[in-house]
Amino acid sequence: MRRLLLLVCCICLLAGTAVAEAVPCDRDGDGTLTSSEVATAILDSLDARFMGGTVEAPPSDDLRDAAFVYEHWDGRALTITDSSGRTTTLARPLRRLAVFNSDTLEVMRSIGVESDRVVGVSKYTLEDPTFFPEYQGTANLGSIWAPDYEQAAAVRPDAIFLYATLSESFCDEIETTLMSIDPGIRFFRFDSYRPAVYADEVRKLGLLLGNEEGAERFLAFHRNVTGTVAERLSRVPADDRMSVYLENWNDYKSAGKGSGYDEKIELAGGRNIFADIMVEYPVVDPEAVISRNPDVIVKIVGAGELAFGGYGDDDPSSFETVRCSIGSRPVWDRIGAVRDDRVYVIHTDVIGGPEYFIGVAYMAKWFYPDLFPDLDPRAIHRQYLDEFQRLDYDLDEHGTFVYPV
Amino acid sequence: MTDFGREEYARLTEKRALFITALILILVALVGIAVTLGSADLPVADAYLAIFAGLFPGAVDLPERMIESNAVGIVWGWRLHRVLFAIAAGFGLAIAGTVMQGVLRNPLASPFTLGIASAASCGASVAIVLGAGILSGGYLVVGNAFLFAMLAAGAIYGMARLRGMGSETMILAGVALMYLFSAVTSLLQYVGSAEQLQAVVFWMFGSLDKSSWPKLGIVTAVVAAVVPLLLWRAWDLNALAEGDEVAKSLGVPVERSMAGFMLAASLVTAVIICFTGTIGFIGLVAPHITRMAIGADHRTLLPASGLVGAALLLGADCLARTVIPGTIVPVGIMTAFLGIPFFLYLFMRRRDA
Repeated sequence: MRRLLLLVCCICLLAGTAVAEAVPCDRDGDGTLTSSEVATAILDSLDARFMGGTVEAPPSDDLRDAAFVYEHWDGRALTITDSSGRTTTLARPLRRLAVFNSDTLEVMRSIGVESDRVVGVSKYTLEDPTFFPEYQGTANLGSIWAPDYEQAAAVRPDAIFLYATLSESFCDEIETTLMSIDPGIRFFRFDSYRPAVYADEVRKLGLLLGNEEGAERFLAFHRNVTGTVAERLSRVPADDRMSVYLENWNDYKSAGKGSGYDEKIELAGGRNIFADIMVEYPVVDPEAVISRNPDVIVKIVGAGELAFGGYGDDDPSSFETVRCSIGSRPVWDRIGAVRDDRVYVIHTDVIGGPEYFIGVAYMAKWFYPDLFPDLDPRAIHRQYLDEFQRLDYDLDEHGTFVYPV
Repeated sequence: MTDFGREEYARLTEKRALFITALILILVALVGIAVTLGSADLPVADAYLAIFAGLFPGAVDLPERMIESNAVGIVWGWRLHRVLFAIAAGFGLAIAGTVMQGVLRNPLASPFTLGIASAASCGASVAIVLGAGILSGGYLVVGNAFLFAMLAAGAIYGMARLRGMGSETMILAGVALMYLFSAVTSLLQYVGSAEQLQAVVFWMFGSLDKSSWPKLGIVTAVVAAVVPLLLWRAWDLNALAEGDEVAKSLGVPVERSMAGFMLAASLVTAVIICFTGTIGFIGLVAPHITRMAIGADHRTLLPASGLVGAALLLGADCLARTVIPGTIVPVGIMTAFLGIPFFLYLFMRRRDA
């Protein structure tokens, strides 16, 4: 019985891939849609619909897909490698997207993917109505750690987007299970929050979803920020770089070598005082912070016990409390950063996810105010929200992201 | 006197047969309900038609709406193996618990009090936080959980083989093991990132979300191989329950069979929980419920408590999938919600009587 089922699954799988690999309306079957093939298909279909023509016309879905392939992928099937290194070939556009990774969903919005193409989102997207208002009625897929498989299959997605380096074994599990329910689903893994691959991922998503122009426009904006910061920081010799102690929402939980935060401190021109620790997220000894005497302290809030701030919170008083509590830790008044009043609080929304470059701009300005007199992270943030997220959100009235402002 | 005993025994046999028949009927009914439940909102008739269509491909013409909703895919690719997995896992966990309680003559013994579950959690945490393990890809976490659970089982086996190691000492050693593995897990959680912590916590909840046909196959094969063996030696368990001396005088090689039973029970537990995470309680409660109902003869206690475990786990999973619409509450949490009140009720009633 089980063997029979496996056999059925295998046949479906083979059939599924075989059908998916032909570019629609490719009459001569050479794998490339030429302009004349597209034109013929369009004329045939017009003829059949309005002139009573007898030529067999392509179904309207095929025509639509062919037009997409011709316009966005030069008339050929697209072969694309995602951030997990897997290569997928597509002969048709992805119309129905299910997105577990809300960071990728945000990037999709940055490059102009229409929200009606998204048929399922993670529970974290739904828990954030301020930032994702347009998805509040969309199907809830759960989280990568507790997915709702039935819902994910029931929305009939063409493609499911997962994380590339976050909880990989859980993402593997999701793929295997959903493949056995519906072998036609394609899977793509992008992180959309790692600086090292961010630009590359944006470009790939643009190509994959037919939003190349949007992706290029967004990348130009992103490059403008990161490029400016990097260029000016190149004048600061390695020995003069600010030493930085970073702590997330858990007390004394810092960042070690190779962690995302370590990378971002470096991008902002800082020197992580715990870069020598091999554990990614070590809990450090308060004494070690005192003895390593950082020039600047950056505290991240927005999760765990410090789950406040961000887009849905307009009250900066909790940020102030957090900042004071760091200064009043026993003997921490000896630390240079506390003495010189260089303790900063930042919300994870602008440092942990796709908006990390806004956080990097803030940090760079905190570390080297003289180098960046004209850099306005708040204006960058505003432009990001207005122009790329197209959110009706007044940054001057709402939200708490950094302290002191 | 003899006649009276015989009559009593006949009544007991009848009671046992009735109990087992009732359990089988309940299980069948639960399966019937379970395959129709789920967030995909398939109509009841569609779910049954989908089962039929999967059994005999091509025999039925599926209506358009079922092709549209991918009913066959959802039922065969997701619901059916989950339901069967609940039965196999519940059956196995309950039998493992029964064996351990019988061997150790302690009502508190279960694979969880002996540290096997916390060892599995520890193995999973090593895989999730450090990314280290014996297998790779989708089986990294599973492989580690199994390896660590078997390490704990091996330790228990070794202790059982030690001459003079009584059941109380073994339980103490098991509890000590549990603390050791929990400490390692806590350490890993301490140094892990927020996401890794999340992943570890979710793994430990215990859930049937991770079921699949191949995994069901593995669990079924192990349960099917071990259970007949246990049933065959059920008399030894009865003898052991009377005490080591009685067992010895009846010709049961005490140390060797104790160790064998513990190993078999640990193996079954390890194979199940490496796929599901911590589903406690079934192994503890199912044997007690069954013993209260039909007595302590292991020849019937073993299969009957297996059926109780299967019904409990499947029932808990049905509730877990429906109690909050659109969300699946981890079944490990649900078994406790369902099992404990029922268990306490049985206790109270017995005290009154």
